[in-house]
Amino acid sequence: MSNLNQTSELNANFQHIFESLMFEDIKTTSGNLNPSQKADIQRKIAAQLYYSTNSGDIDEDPAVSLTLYNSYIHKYFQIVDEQDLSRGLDSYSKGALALASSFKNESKQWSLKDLRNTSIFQTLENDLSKTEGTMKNIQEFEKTLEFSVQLEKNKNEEEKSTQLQVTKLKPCEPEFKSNSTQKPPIVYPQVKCFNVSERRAEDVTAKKNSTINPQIRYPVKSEVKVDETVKPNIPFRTAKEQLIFDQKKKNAGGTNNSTSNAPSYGCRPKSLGQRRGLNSPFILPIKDAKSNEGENNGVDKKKIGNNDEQEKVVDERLKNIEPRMVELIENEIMDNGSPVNWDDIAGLEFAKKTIQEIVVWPMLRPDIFTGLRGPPRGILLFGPPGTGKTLIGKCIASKSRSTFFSISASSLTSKWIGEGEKMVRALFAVARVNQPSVIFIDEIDSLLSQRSESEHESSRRIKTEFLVQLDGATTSQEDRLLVVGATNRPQELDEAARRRLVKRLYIPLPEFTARKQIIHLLMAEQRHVLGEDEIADICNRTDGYSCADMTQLCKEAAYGPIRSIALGDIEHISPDQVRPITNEDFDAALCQVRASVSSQDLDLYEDWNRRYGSAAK
Amino acid sequence: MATALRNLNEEEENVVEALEQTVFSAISKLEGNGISGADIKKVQEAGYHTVESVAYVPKKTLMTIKGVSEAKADKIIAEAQKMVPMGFSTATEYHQKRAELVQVTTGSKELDKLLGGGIETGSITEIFGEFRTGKTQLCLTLAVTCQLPIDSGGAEGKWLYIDTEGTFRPERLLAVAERYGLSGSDVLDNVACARAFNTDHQSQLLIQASAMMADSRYALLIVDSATALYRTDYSGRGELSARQMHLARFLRMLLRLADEVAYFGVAVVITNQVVAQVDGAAMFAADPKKPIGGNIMAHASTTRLYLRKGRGETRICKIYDSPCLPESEAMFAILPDGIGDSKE
Repeated sequence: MSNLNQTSELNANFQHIFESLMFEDIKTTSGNLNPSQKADIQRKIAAQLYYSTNSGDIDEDPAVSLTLYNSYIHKYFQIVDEQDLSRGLDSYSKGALALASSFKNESKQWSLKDLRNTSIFQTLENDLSKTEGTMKNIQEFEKTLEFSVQLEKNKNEEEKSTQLQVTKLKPCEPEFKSNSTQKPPIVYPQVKCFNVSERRAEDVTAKKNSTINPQIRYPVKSEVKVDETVKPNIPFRTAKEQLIFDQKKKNAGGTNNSTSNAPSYGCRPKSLGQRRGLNSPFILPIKDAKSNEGENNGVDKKKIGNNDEQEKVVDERLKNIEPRMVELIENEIMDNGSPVNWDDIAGLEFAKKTIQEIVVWPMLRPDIFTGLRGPPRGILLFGPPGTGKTLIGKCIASKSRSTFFSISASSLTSKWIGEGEKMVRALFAVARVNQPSVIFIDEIDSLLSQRSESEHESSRRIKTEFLVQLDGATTSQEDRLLVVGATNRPQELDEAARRRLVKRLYIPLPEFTARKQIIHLLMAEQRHVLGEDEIADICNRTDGYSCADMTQLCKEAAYGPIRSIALGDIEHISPDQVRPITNEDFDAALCQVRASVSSQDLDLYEDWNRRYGSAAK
Repeated sequence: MATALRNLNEEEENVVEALEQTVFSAISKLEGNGISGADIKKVQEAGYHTVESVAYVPKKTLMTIKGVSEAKADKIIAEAQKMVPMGFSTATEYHQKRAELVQVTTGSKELDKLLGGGIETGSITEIFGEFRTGKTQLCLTLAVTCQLPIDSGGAEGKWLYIDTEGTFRPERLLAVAERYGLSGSDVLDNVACARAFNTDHQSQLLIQASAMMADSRYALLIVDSATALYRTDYSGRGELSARQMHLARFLRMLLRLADEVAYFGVAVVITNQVVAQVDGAAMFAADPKKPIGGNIMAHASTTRLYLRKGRGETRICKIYDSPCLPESEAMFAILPDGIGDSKE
């Protein structure tokens, strides 16, 4: 009788608990609890079911409650193993990581003492304490919690397996509690899930296999324990452990979900594979045979390939020169200026002929121009400003079909001491590589002025380097390299530079015919009413004018017709209504534009030309 | 079939034995002849794992081990000395031995040339210099290069790192491993590192290190930096002699490892900090930096390298003291993938 009462009471109690739990379960589906809380509830239900079934609290068929239990435990696993962190805990991989990083898998929460304080244990205890008959169960329960095997002997086989399952369920309980309440959630989920996944595996075996050695059931734990016995003695850890530890520390401030910012390297997620510890023997870190071969070869090939490529690209003459400088010099190569013809240069027949001789013909017949007939290495064009020296340079550039470097002082000097000389060297090296080549240096007096004691050391070194490169011990006769210098202060040139610029061509002021040619050339595009006589008259009056002056004169004259237009009409007048350029315009322009070169200057040039220049006859 | 198998096994054992003999002899070989297993264990716990290490220590030190009496110490030493040749040998033999020494490449060809091939195993190399001169970076590059096969300039061994400044960054190892095409995870697994927190702990770690070295093949032992903790643990002139004594003992232990090195093939690299000379002499010296540790440090290290900063990422290494290398300088660079040659 009393026994009956007790069971009914127990039943009622169970019903109460179970219903409350079911309530919570319903809440979980509707409310937004976090996954760990959900899992907590699911597991409580499952545990309650299991316990009640086994202790005989409910008189249902054990098979029915077992299926019920299975459905709950399945739900629970779903939450725990879910990889999406918004829905589940994804602690399977964490568990693996935790094991790997030598974290203690067993927390203090596991001890029985703490277990007693948890609510579920207390409720169970209350239930059991109500019956004297089940008092024994508590002891058994404790014993099972301690994973003892002895108890099993008293029970039948089925009970044995189920009890073991219960014991394994229980220890997990406090984890969740503490997790949701106080503890930082980093470590615990790992521990918990680890056991869960472990348990799942056992669950299957437990049902089929009734005689299970409990020792086998905790393979991981025992492993960990072995680990722990080794670990505390050795303060060293492997670098990988350190890496993982560092990363954990970094992530500790953030959320507990480590999948998003998980270590991209070093941990193989979701594998329980072995990791070598401190005491493992040395293993050559070369990658696996196949991939290694491939990669190594790849690397080697890459290296070799690179070398080959570089060798192809970099000429041996450039190998001692910084690539940066080579690049700078290569930027000075002029290849698309406006095309200039020899006919665009008025007069200067001797200069034109000489340059053609030096530049163009050797290009056409390199076989003839060898040895003694070899072209000179340097040309100096000198003369008063505005007589077409630069134009000749441009013409060489467009006509010679060679690599044309237009160099000014700015492209060779540097703020670093010693860089200037190197730039000069690089210039000549690049020019040699790109033969045939012409180096045109406008205003060469800026680079190669007379060396003196007062000048700065660095500029002197640039000069000497230039001289050495132009004609020194390292230069060979076969180099097809032409240096063209243009200056209007030839007397300031260094004597060694003068020597190296073999052909020194005087570019004089335009003569009468040349001036006429200029006027014809410029006026060709304009409407004018100038007769031959008038042009001759103008040319007579412009004695001493340079080419630049002549150009300026023509420009000024061309403005004459525009100036005669009334101020108001300029907006509406059509181009062909402008009157042609007349002689009067030139008269007016002649008052405006004067010769820019004085006769004393000319004397200087002529004197220098007589002494050093290559004369016409 | 069975006999064949047994023969095979025996052969294998022989090979293993031969290998052990050539490399070093474990202390367990001393067992017998009146030395009990328990004694061996005691000695082992004190950090002596090879017969050589026992043979080389003074009796006084052996007696400090708990449970080892004077008589026992005598016996152990006598037995050990029987097994270890400790007498004179000809220069030819020495030369041969030295020719077998492996050199670990530093990653920079210039630096290797300066060092005559790389960091030498079997001796202590001290690297000192100001902060940001590349001491740690050099160490971290060595971590990977020492794992390379011997014919690629490595030493085919693990790397042991005692970190006193908290500057160990495994990520850097991965970057260097990438450069040499090694598997990063294996490289990391071949590294044992520990953080030292005080000078006593630092010495303690060394004992454990020697135990680990007996277990598996270590190629390089690095203490980065050896003197940092001494600088703070001991202060002022009052504690100077205590500090120097402690440091000397620590270095002696390192030297002992380096002595065993002939058998282990371990290179010992320590880094050192510098101190500025602020007294009168500083005005005349161009570079008033001196390594700390005084004469004790200076005498203990076999090769001393002085690093200083060059332009940009370049660093300059100068041989400060060496038994065989000429005093000269080399330039290297700290690149994203470890130490390398400067591009200039």
